[in-house]
Amino acid sequence: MIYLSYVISLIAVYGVLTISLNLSVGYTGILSLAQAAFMGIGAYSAAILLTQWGFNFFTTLLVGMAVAGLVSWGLAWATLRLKGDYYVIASFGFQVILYNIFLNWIGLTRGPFGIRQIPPPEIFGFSFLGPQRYALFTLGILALCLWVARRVGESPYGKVLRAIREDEAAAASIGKNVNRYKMSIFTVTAMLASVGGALYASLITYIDPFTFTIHESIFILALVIIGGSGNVYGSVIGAAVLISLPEMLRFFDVPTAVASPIREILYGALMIIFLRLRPKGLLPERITSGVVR
Amino acid sequence: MEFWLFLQLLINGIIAGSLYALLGISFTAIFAPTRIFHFMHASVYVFAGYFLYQFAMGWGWPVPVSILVAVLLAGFMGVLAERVIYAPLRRMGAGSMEMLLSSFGGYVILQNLILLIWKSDPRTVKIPEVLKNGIPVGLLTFTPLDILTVITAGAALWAVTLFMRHTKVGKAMRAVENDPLGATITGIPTEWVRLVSFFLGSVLVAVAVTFHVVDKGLEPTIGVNAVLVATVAMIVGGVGSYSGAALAGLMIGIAENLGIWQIPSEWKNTITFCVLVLFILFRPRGFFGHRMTRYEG
Repeated sequence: MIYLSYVISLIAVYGVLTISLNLSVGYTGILSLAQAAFMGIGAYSAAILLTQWGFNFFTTLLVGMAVAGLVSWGLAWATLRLKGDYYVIASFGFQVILYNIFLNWIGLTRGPFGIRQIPPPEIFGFSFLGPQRYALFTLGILALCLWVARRVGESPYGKVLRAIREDEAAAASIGKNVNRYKMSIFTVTAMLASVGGALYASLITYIDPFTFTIHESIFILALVIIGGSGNVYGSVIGAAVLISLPEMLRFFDVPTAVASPIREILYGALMIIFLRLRPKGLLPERITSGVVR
Repeated sequence: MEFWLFLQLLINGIIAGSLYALLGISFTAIFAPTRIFHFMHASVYVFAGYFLYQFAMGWGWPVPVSILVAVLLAGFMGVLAERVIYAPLRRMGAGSMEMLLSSFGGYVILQNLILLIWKSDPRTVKIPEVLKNGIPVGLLTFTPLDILTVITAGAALWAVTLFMRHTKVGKAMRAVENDPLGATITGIPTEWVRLVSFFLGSVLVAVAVTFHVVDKGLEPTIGVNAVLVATVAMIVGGVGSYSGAALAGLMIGIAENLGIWQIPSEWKNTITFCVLVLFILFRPRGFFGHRMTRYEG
């Protein structure tokens, strides 16, 4: 039961991260490799403020979101004028830099030693201590994220995002400020990613820089693709499938040094297979109405 | 004293920059004709290094033979990536985003194969000590290996430029770069041209990793940095321009090494990234590019 709750929490945390990336990749067609960087910002904000400053978890969430939002806005301002592949390179560079900061700014992040004993969230004296309570808590946040993402997706704003994805020039020609839309959705993505990071830190109770590498970004990207880009429920399904499947490896007698590469080879292969055979993912995008106002 | 330090850092920058130039050229050779953001380049880079290690240290082959075989094998890995990953997607009519995402998938698979086969411990390849003994010139030092690095990078640039200008295949590559559809219509075998560009790019990147391995050793993680530098060099140089990519690589190397004067060396990547952002903000076409707009369409 404890193990099951842990897996459910993990799925919910990655659900949040995947939904947030789906807003950029699936809705708007901005491929970003910096998701783990923003996740890291959230995780480190939570870890540092909780362990060293005794902040409340929800305050650290807000701080993390503010930092991630500001940073992503700056990044978007500087680089979103690039199109397609070139933007990918910029976000790739940014991801590598942030990893370097987590690793080398030892005064702030304790570098490779990581931060231990991150406490669980607490509200009005009620602590979400223990796996079952924490699973409920993360599921609650996941539901909230789903609701926000759906609202964004189905609003006129979300329809403009899809229009930008399909044909940027056409969207601009009907008077939509493409750059502003891209920057705003990218900022929302980063803020939600930082929430996911904070949840992650609090769930694992220990973070170090090696979690927030480009590989994590690619993993979350794989969840978006396999779940179904443009469909937020698909993101949750993708996270559920790709997190629970490798957990099954635990029940066989596979040493960890072998199990973790096999797990990654599995999702790399799934990514290629899905793009080839089912590019729309497990749950394809549903367009509710075709009119862009 | 300050002056000598500056000169030494400049020389170190030119040496590092030569390898970056090679990386930039190698990425351009693939990206310009095929327009595929070949992230698996990172894995080819690392794999070539491990091939070399396996042949030279594992099986005791002579180092020059090992290098030659490793470089050729890397070339075929590039060809394989095109045949297995990209060509089927292209036939389906997939866009550049699907290509890139599949490339990530391939990268993850290859990267973990390396972990399974060679584990993650650092490896080294021994070469004759003569190559690594410093030559003092005034207060400066550099090694014969450094000189060889710079010469190789220069020769590679020269050879690639001649190849692109004067051979039939090179001209075909430029034609495909300019207009893939038009090239097909005029009877250029575009599929084959793409294979050549993958082979060429992968061979060049294998040459780059050879120098990295004999100088600094080998770890599974070195590929990501290499691709970051390669892509930044390509953009800063102006996409499609080989001499631009080389010049940009050289510049990044110099900027990083002069930066060490004031900034600890862990922040090297940050300097690279700053160069990229500055160019995006103030000269998005790169050094020699008017071509970026063409790709944007």
